[in-house]
Amino acid sequence: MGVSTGPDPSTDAALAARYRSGDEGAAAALVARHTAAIGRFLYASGAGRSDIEDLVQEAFYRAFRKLEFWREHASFRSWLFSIAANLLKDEYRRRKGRTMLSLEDRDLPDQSDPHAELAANEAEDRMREGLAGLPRLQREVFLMRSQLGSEYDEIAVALGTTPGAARVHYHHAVKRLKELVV
Amino acid sequence: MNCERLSDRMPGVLAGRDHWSREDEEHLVVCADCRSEWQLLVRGSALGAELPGLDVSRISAEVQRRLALAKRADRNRRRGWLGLGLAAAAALVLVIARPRSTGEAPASPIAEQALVLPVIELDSLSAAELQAVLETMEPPMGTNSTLDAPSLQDLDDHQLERVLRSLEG
Repeated sequence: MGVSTGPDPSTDAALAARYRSGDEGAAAALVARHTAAIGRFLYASGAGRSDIEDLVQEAFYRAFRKLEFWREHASFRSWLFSIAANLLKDEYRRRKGRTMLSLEDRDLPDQSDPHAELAANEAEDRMREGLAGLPRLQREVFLMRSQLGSEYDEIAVALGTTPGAARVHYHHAVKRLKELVV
Repeated sequence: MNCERLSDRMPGVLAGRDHWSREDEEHLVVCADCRSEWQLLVRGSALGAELPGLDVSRISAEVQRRLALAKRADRNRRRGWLGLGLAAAAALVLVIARPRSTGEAPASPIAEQALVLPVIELDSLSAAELQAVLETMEPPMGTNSTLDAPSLQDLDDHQLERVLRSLEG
């Protein structure tokens, strides 16, 4: 009995190839797999909660329209992160620099332990404010390190920079966040 | 313990690809710099974890609807360009194939055949009528006398008489 040694059909690369050959179900699988992560990245980058679903949708739309540009040197998710980051930058410019950070629309704290929830929300708000105050590349490199666990090589490919520059951006981000948040 | 090396490993530990050794953990306890960096990364990774779930099926349906529309628009755009290209090619062919109004006779085989087609209407004419028709036509180039050959009008009486005598035998 021969065992299939072909590529895993569930990988992002295999799903992307299936989508390119006309399988729309593959696109749905990629959306299902990455939606939550992209939403969190956008939220951490300063997008308002009410905007996140539209931004996620737009990020996927742009990604599928430009799928031939995904070179697979970076993971599909980190490539999506870079698209979402550009989208947020465009949105920020469109709103003429008005901040997108919306802290007022957060959920009410859990009444079972209101003090703990409040403290957690405050810590989260400080972190988001700190991130929002960083230059864009510093913020993106930091979030790719923390939310994706990406190495500098992968970040460099996704953001179109060098691993050395990505490392420098990360260390600047950490230094500034320590001053603002810790 | 090298703080830089520990810093490089932090994302891997966060993502579950790596883990702290006892030595790493001891370093994190004593090194405030590494500890605060680690805390920042943990906080960053937790951002948005409490976000209410996004509606994946709605996002997916809307993305696919927009992609289908975009594909249709791309197809129509390609057809438009193809039609425009074909029209331009047809116009070019017409311009090239059109015979020039002045200059040499058409060189295409069809044009040459047309020149040798018999003129049926002339068959019914008498010899005198045919002669009259011929006189109205200019002789074809190259069949006429050369420019320096004298015509009958150029001859004097004596020369004309010699020509007539030679014709009469």
